[in-house]
Amino acid sequence: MDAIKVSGVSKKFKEKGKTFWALRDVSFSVKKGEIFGILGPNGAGKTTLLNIMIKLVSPDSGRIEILGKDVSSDNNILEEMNFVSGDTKFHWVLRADDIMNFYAMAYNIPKEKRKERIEKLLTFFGIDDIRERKFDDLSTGEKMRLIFAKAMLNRPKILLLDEPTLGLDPAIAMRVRDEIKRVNRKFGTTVILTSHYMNEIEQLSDRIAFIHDGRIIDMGKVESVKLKRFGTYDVIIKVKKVLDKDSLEKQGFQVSGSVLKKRLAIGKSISNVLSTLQKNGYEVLDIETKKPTLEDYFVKILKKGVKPEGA
Amino acid sequence: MRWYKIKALMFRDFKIITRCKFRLVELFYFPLTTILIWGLFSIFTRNISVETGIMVLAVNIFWSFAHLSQFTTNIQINQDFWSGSFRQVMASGFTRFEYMFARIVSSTVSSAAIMVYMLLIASIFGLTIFFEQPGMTLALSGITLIGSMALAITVTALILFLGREYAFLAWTLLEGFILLSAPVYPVDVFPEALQHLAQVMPFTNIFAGVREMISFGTLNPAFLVNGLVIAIAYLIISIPLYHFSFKRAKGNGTLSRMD
Ligand SMILES: Nc1ncnc2c1ncn2[C@@H]1O[C@H](COP(=O)(O)OP(=O)(O)OP(=O)(O)O)[C@@H](O)[C@H]1O
Ligand SMILES: [Mg+2]
Repeated sequence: MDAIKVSGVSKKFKEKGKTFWALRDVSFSVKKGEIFGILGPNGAGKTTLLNIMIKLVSPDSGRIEILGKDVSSDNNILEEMNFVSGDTKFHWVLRADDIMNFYAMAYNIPKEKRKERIEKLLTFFGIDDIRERKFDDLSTGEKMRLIFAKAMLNRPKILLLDEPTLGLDPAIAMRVRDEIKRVNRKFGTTVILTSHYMNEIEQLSDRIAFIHDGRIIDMGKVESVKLKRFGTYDVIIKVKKVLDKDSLEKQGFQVSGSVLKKRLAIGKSISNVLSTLQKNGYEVLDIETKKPTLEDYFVKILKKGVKPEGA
Repeated sequence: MRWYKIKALMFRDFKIITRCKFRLVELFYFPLTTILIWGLFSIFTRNISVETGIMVLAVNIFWSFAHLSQFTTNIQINQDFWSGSFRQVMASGFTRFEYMFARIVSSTVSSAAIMVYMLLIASIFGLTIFFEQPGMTLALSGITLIGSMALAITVTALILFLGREYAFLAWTLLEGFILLSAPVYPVDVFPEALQHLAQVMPFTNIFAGVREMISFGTLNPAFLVNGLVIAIAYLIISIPLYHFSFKRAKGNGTLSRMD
């Protein structure tokens, strides 16, 4: 079943008298339990899309269904969701425990369970010692962990994460990523994640969408999306000794010292290359394949001037 | 409307007030100084004209109450914008009316407490009629509250419509309405055209009623009836104003950029 179904969502904004599209005819669906990554350059429309999901922005056209309910008309849908963004703030004078208590009440967690659940979450995120400190006095990492603790209060079925590891040190960012994965596995939470950290998207997402200028350009499994824009990849082979440089070059190898490099079409396996080498008496010491990364993809797609698929 | 949502926001409002020194000072300090200033004025004028000082003092109590209940509501909302926490609050699923209503209830509770506190201080200066006639006092306060809340809702609507740089309306708009509501003078002092306008100001009947109570010890029920009708009319106008400017802000992107 689709947990989230976005159909034909468009949104335009006006700034200084000029109208522009923040989202154009965006459609996709996210299956239950899936982690769906959204990437794209600054101003692509990622946050706008999430703002529509949390009902802070209304779309000009199109519709979003979450857990089978129409977001624009259902007042209870946000009870089953939670939202974290890298720039989340709480009121500066509130203490961590005030914040947790407020959200626990807002999500209607029964009084007798409230305390225990809050304790558990604060402990889990390693911030049980900051409960009496004001939000303003917390470090970036402590704030972020508090925001995540808050996001788990209502055991959301849908988690919307807008650049959740912005400004975190690598260790905490890793912890946050692990937590996203853990929640997703353990509770089957459906996650939409936006990030500018490609490794984060790559590591977490089951599927991704690349969005640019309000349009979805590519969508699918990380590997297939990535490769869609690349026809080839490189394989680098270190041999013990080069026996016949000329014949290797004729076969399409670039030879430098004892390192051979060959460009292969995506989908073509390296076993042929290896067996040919072995047949010709080469001893292979090391093999490395250089497939394009998501970062390569990101840069390439922006450089080329993007067109949506099929356009 | 879901009561647990209202309760949650009220809990938050009270936590903010108690954790925020300047909010506490604002709540207690200004009413105290206002009542002391006009209380002392009433002592000074006792020899010139017995009632004048007490009347000014009494009007000031209701003026402060009107200001406080409207201002508290709006400052709570403004603080959500200023603290950058509005998006997070709304993401936990408050409807626009739950959001507004909770603020009205929590500001009613705190303003009512301050009202009692002001009346107590004023009684030091011999202004005791409001305790002697609790029914009248309650009616006058209730109507003042409705008018103030209507203005609070209107101010929120205007800020959503015009953008958050119009947050200053929270502490300015009401003063104009007070001026035209003829607080310490009768409506007759206005030029004729303004008199008509003054008749439909939210607090005109309240102030006239308060002055009458001080002068004659009684209150013409007509003031209460007219006052109530006008206050409710303001409320009835303010609600759709809020509804539509919220909706518009959601459409044109203002809402997601409030914080
Ligand atoms: N509330 C708003 N009012 C007016 N314009 C807006 C609003 N929100 C977003 N925009 C504009 O819409 C476009 C998309 O913005 P959005 O914040 O969705 O991008 P994004 O993909 O999240 O970018 P980033 O990676 O920088 O966070 C931008 O041009 C932005 O200026
Ligand atoms: Mg963004």
